[in-house]
Amino acid sequence: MVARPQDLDAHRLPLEILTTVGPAARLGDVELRTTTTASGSAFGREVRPLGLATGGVRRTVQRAASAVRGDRSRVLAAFADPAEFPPGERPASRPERTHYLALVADAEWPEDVAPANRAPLEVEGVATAGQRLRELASSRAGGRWKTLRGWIRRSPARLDEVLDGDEWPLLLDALGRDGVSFDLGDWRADAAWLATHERRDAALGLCEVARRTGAVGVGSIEHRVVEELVRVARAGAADTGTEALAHELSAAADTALDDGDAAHAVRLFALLLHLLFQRDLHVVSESSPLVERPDAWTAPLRTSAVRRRIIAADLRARPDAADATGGAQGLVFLAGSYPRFGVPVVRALTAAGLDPHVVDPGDEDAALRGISVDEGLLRVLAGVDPVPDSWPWLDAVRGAAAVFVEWADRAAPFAVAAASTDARVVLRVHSVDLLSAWLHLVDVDRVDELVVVSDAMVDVVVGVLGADVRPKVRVVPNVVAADQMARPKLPGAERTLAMVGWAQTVKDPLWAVEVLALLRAEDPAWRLLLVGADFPRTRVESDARYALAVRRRLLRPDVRDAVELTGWTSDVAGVLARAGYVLSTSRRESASLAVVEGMASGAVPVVRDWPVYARVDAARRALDARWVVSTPAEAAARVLAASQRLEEESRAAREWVASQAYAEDPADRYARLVRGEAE
Amino acid sequence: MTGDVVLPDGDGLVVSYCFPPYADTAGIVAAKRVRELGRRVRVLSNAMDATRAVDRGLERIAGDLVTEDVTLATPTGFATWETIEPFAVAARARAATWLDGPGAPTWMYSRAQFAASNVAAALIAADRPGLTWVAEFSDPLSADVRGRVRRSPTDPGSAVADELRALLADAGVEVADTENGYELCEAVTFLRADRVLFTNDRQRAFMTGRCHDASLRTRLDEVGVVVPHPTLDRSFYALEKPVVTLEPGPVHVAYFGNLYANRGLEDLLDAFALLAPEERRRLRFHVFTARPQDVTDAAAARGVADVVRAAPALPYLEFLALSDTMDLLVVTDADTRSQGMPVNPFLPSKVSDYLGSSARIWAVVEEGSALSELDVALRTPVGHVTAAAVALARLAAGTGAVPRR
Repeated sequence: MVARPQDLDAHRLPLEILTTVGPAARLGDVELRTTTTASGSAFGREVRPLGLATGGVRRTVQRAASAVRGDRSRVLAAFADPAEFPPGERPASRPERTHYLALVADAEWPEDVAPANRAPLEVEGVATAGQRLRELASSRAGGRWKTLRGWIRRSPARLDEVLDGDEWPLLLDALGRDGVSFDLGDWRADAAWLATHERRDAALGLCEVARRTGAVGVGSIEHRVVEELVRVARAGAADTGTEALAHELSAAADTALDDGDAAHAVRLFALLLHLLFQRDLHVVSESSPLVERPDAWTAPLRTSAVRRRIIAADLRARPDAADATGGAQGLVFLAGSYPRFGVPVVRALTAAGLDPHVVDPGDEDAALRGISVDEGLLRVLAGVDPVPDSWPWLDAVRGAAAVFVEWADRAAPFAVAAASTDARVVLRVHSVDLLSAWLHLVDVDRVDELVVVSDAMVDVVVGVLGADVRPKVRVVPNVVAADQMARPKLPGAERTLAMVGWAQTVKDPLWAVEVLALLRAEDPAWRLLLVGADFPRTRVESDARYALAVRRRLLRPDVRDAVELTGWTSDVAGVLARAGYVLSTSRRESASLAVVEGMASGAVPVVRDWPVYARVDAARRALDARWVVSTPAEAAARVLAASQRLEEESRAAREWVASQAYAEDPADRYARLVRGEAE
Repeated sequence: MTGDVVLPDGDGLVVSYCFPPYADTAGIVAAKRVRELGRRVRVLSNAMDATRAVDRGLERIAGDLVTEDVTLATPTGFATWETIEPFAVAARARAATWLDGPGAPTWMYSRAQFAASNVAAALIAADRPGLTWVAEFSDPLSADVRGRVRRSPTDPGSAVADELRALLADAGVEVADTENGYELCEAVTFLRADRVLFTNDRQRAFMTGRCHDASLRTRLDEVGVVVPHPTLDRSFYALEKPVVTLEPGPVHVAYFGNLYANRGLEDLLDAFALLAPEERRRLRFHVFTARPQDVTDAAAARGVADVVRAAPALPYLEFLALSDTMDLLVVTDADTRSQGMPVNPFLPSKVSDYLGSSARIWAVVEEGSALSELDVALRTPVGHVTAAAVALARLAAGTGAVPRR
């Protein structure tokens, strides 16, 4: 009898509470221990036998486990007994037998388990969580909220399902005696924190507890936003109710600002950004309201006084300096939250003789790395908190004659606000930051050139920022080292697909696997190379779910033996030499560098009509319509057709790359943008 | 094992802080080197009772080739100067009696880890310029597994440290940190040894590249040589009986050895957890390691305890015997790329034992590592749960079959 890790995590909170009295608790004649695994992400409850009577406990556990087999919903946690090795297989040197406890939900015991055997486990089961909370409530004053908050933040479990109705008021009362009142400063803030940190069940649970206990703030706009965040994330789509709530939230933030409570205003504004830009709606989805209906979706932002205040931030002068704008010189290049993308740009700028001084704000302060909403940074931009002293990079920006901001990320609004009025400012935006909040917090009037990598992205950036920015938007394609990719194809390439950089939700490798499955139904010789690192470990629910789906799909017999996972490689050209076809199955790309590199190698492109940007026809505008398909079936048909004239198709792909701006040296173009010279 | 250096006639002197019967990889490899050479040696080692178990079976590796074995009762530790200096001083004194006596050794072999071995050998070599010295490094000393500087501070006023510094100064050699015993040990060995053995070419490049002094780099180009860990002959795999009888049917995968932060089994356990229960039950994963409870806990937390068997590390000959009964032996590269290391200088020594086994090898590799270039039955990328899961699924289905050698 085993429990899956996710089952355990789902019940982590009650179990943690259960053992908070110490690392071990007595349970009848056994000792209950907390075990933290090496990963720290899961845990176990181990029961070490303390005497001969453990046989009875073990039988109880086994019978209980047996009784609930097949119905996991009734099992809080059940562990295999690894001591039950098959005869003769147990290592002779095993130090001791280990037994594991099954915790079974109240009233779920099978009738044939004697009450005497149920009682100790029942007593220490779910009901004990409330008991421990009572103990917490009656513990000495001070620190109780911190303790409870730690439980809440660590656990995705729903607090409302852990507690009995009469237990929570008890604790509330105790927390009140600690001086904790349930206003915006605590439960609503925590619920928002949980909801915006992929802990939706926990957030809903906290809301529910607040509702049941009549805590302050039930039904408030923050409360409703938390519930809407959860609803939208689950549905993967917004509706008119979402937009109405966003308008209401924007107005509430502005009211707080009018009332002189800037901190409250920023907190509400941060929630607004979370609501409008939550990743499930844009970054990993198959469509985005920012692309589909940008005017309507960004309307609550355009009217926001808080946003206007943030954009108006003027950071050109250090607080301790009267004028830091004089004598500006040189080009400062912000590395961006994903610095590898900026490397070719730095190389180009260096080749043009501009000698960029590269600064990496994320190195100086990790809070500046990333594109998700960060309330602390918003407070600084809004003037609620001062600019940290530990940001030397900002001084470099203040003193620069030109600033190249790579990525519209968390650092971008600060850089633009700090650049001298005389300095030229170039901002390069990528596919993902076009769909993120920070671009909307940059003072675009202060930006001289807004660089994107494809024509379709011009439409997207104009859509989200408005037609006024159109004159300053420039298209500079990515650099492709086409000559380095050109190698003779190896035997087997004629039946091999490749996907480079596959293990992200947005790349949608499931789509590629389905293409492979369809091809193998025709001819089992077809293979798929998945090139690049594996899915990262993540607590983001949607990403974890997606990774699990891909992995399970890859294990199915129709594709299992035909997929090669190369891992990260520095030799992409070497891998591409083994592939006759290159797939781009992404939900969203601005100009898929990977597929262009594949084409430069002579691989035939098969490109999904990237659904997020289908409205602006991004795939066809970035590549060529004849290579773009809409479904895995169309992709498989395209591959099969191309396989009939592979040499000709391969040559066409290489020639197309050679005919495009990809192969051009962008040094001059970047140099002209930075210098402000006409193109 | 000495590259193109022809050892002089006569017996040898082995300076190995740890040597059988103490159970430690350092001593085992030193004994295997002795066996590989096939020359009679006298051994100077430290009494490791405080930190290492005694495994009498290990004495069979070098066997009768060890004509005399002096175990010095100096303080035991990994690399503190308080343990290095007393061992070096005592070994130097004891070696003198042999080197001045009848049938004196004509050559010397030493191996670090432990650093104390090469420090002691450096002092002996300084006393006896005519003695041919072959020194080995199992891994970089002055860099850790993340590529950061690793320090073993010398004691203030240490006569041995002063002597090492003087040897370097006399030769005009500079080191970055003269208070770091690891750096002193490496630099003096690079300066004075007639041959410096590395276990793989990445290690050689990495350690050469870290040399602060250009003249040492030049010298290493001349005296450095890559010599893989020795593999014992097949008879050693039958000296003991397997301590575990494997149930017939499942594919038995095994890992023998310690687990580290950047060389663990989490990814493999995660991969097992991805398999359907009926698939998973066609496999068994045996782990023999210093802290089996950690593995048991990790397996239970993932719901795969039904197929994971964790047990304490085995005595060496039992390990060899049991390895022979397995289907697949797992060896994993350290993950160095994520640490920013330019090359992966590490090659797990257990590979040499696996190569002698009749089981096949599953190498979990980092691109460009020495391990990644070995001819193995199964190779998956390090840090890649998906690839490991696919490999396991094929094993369970029989489509990734690994016929025994």
